[in-house]
Amino acid sequence: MLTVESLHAGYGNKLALQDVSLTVAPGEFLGVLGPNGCGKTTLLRALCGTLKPRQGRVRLDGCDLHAIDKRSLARTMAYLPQDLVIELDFTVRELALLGRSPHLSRFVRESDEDRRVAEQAMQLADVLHLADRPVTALSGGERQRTLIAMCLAQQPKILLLDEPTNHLDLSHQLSILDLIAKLNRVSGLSVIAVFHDLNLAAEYCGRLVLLESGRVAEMGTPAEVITEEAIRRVYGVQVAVQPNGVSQRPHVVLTAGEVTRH
Amino acid sequence: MSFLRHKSSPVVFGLLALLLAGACVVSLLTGPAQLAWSEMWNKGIFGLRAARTLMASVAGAGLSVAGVVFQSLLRNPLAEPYVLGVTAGAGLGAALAIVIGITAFGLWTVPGMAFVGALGTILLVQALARSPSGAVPVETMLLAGVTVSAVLNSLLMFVVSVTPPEKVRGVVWWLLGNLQVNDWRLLEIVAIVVAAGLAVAILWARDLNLMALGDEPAAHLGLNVTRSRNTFFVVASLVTGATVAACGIIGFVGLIVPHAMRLIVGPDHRRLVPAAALAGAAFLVLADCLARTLLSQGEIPIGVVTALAGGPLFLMLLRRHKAVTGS
Repeated sequence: MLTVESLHAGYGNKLALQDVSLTVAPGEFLGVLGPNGCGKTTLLRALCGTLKPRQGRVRLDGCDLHAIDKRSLARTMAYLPQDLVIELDFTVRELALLGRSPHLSRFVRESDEDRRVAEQAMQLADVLHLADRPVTALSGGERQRTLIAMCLAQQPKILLLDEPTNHLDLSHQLSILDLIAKLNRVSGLSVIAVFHDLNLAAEYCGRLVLLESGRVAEMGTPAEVITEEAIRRVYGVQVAVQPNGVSQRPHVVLTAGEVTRH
Repeated sequence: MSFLRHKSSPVVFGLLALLLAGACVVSLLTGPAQLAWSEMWNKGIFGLRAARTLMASVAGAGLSVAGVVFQSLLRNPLAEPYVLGVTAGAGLGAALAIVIGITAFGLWTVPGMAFVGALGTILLVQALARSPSGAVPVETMLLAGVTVSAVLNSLLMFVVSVTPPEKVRGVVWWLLGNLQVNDWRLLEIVAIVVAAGLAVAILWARDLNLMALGDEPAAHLGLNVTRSRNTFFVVASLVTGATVAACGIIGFVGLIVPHAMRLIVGPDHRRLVPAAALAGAAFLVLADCLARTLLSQGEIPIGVVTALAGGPLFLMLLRRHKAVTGS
């Protein structure tokens, strides 16, 4: 259980988050939405302990996040930053094994058990067939799935993702989100992910939080958060929200300016 | 290209050790004096050549490992003690100690001052060139490294200019890189420092792997990034400082050797660090053989030989880097 209590956080003189409170229950899939610069990434960085709060607190199962030792935190929480580039040509397997680092004491080599966990992580992320390929030779989607395998090898209870499908084409977007949804459903992994695309967020997340200049504008189920009124207020655009004919979740329908603004 | 990457480690390291042993034999048999074995032994030439071979292996291993460490810490495959200006900083520290004649710490004074110069330089360069993610991009590294080197080299030249005439030749010869061993005890000091640095880099090789992913990913995998970075900056500066104090400024070894070894054993530092140490030792021993034999009279300074080999490679890698990043 991750609890955020009236969190204020930022960089330098700028406060990027103000008075944010929320909880993430075990097994939840929470989507973080909002326009550029509204504090989505800042929230994620505060949730994983990279950024220290100015005020307020982030608690993990009741403990202040900054009182937890980094290695044991890394055994509970994995974070995939946006657009992470690996310059060196580590193989997929080597990267997955690096995900075991928080479980290994310093001078110990990976055991067979670690290799098994890494292999399982690669299997889950559907990159096992690429295990011995250098990551620099993979496509964007394969590379992202490799990084997810590295996160899974940490055996976290909570997975934080910053726009995990950024720059990927449609089939890879869906395959990655299907994978994350499956992990969330089957193994009870809590997922907190930043989304750019409102419709993808509405399809996959159980709950959404919509941020507006560092504050929580809306929080609730997709149907509660994604409304024409909230999108007009936060994004400043007029859209139509209709239920998706297949999933019945809210679906944002965009039209060219001439149509909606007459 | 990583054709030996999936071969078992013993095979790869056996081959590298064999290469080093071969290089040492060649080095012992190479030199201007073409004498019979017994004569060489009697005149003490053998001992001189052995010392020089040992110095070349230690310096080659040290500079290569320092290169590997800087490349991981700065997330930049073109980082290298010479290009970063770290050898120039070490050179200035050592030259000051030699010329002023500081002897506060006995034989450790010159290596100590070189270490201070090296550490100061890397801290300055990374403070100037670091991006918020902790990486030091190639372009800014070059600007900061070249600028800092230029200033340090001017200061170094100033120190040389005020050196008493009878000492000048020695200082200049040392600055260009010199593997001649004048004092066995200095060789001992360098060997101890390099061995210690190598041991730390091997034992903490997994931290180097994590650091190579970047500050944030490393922290999310449970690494204390600040502590690791500080430790490794000190280690790499100690190794570079000791090497420069004994052998002067020898550039590009830390670029050529790690680059070649990455192609052969891959980027995992648990294999890369020991491979770079062995190959670096062999490389500098062989480069020194060339330096001693290319001219019919006298020798080419070793720093000139490594620069002639490493400079073009650096430019080639820079071109490829530009082609990849499109910048």
